[in-house]
Amino acid sequence: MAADEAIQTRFIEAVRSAFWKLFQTELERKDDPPRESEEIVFTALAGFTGSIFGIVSLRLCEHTAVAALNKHKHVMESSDSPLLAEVEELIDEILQAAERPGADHLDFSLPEIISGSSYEVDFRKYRKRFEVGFDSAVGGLCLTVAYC
Amino acid sequence: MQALLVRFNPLLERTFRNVLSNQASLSVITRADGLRSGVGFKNTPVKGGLTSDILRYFESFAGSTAGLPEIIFYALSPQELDFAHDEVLLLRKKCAFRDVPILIVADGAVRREAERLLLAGGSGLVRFPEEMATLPIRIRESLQPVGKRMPVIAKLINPFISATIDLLATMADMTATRKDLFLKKNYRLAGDVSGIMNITGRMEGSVAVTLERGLALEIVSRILHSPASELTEEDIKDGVGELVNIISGNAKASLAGTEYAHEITLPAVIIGYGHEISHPRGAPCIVALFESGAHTFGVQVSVQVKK
Repeated sequence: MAADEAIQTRFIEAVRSAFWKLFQTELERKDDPPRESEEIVFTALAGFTGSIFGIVSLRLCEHTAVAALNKHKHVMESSDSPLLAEVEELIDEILQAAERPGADHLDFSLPEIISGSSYEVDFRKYRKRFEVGFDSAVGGLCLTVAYC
Repeated sequence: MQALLVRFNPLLERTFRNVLSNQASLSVITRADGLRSGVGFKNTPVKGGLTSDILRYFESFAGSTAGLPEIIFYALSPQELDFAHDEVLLLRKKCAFRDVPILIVADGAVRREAERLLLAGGSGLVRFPEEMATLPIRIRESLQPVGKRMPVIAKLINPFISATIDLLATMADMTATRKDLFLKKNYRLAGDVSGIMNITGRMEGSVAVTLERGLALEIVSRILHSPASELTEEDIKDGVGELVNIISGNAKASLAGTEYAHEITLPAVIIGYGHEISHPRGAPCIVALFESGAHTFGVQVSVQVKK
């Protein structure tokens, strides 16, 4: 149980730290994370192996991605898909913050970003899972970590 | 090169014809009722939805790939924004396994709406009229494979191809034939059901199997020896997860002991009409297209050797 809490804390802190680094904004936990719906448009997925193995998913509402984008105008000028580039930058920061060198190092895969207006990602192959919703000045997001 | 223009008014069409006259053979999707084509409607935007016109255009190829567009331009009309999402999604769906760039042509007034179409399957934006002078360069860039600065490990794809063909033959009693093999131009592959496995270790990346729902149903139904009509949503998710699990597991076993040995995670399954999977960060993405009966499906492998 303590190990599960440590994993939760590790990923939640990674998300907070990435958000602070990129957007200088605090995240607040929400009791009711956003569900798969029309509202969710991007999901960044990355697998990890190490002392545990699993998958981390970050779901973003479109307005979060757009708001984030507006803070990084250079991305818009340099990319055909500015929103995808923005989500990519965010997930990169989170994975770097969650990696940690040493005995509990996790090895992350390159992330994929799924887009579309209505889809659902299923993680039932993993035994354990936690989901946390966040709200911030730039919008909401939902972190899911599924692992064995 | 074959280019398709959708929802172009005559002024826009003329401009594109002038710019691309030596470079592309242009097709234009027009309304069946001719509303768009007459001289009297000069500069008038195309009215109403084009869904049936788009379907008619693609049906005219009757399953042949000859003459199908290599690039599509979709003009975003400020007067008909309501139709744009569904029309771009339909175009992406019709090109689902062929990696055709769809460039959204829009002026600054509808920039935000144009960006939203990137979620529906658009590959990039062309600002009109500012970017007309650089249009030939944009086209060239759009047709280039992504990740071209990274080494392409072609021999990596073979274990995945063999594993896919073997799996369908042994577990589903189906014949899959490999058709095209190409480097993706934009990392996007639209499907109804996809299974993804992540790869870590000396290599990092992912493997995705993307199918139309009809084919997913048929494969799972054959594997479970159960009529498709009796399958639940959970059966389909489990079945597609198992599909990519076995393909990746067999490929991993083939590569064990080589410089490409790697670890794999468990699969995640994505379900939803026309979702797209992007593999960012500049790694090349090799796609193998397979045909099984009347269906096409794709296996895409995007990996890089860790530095």
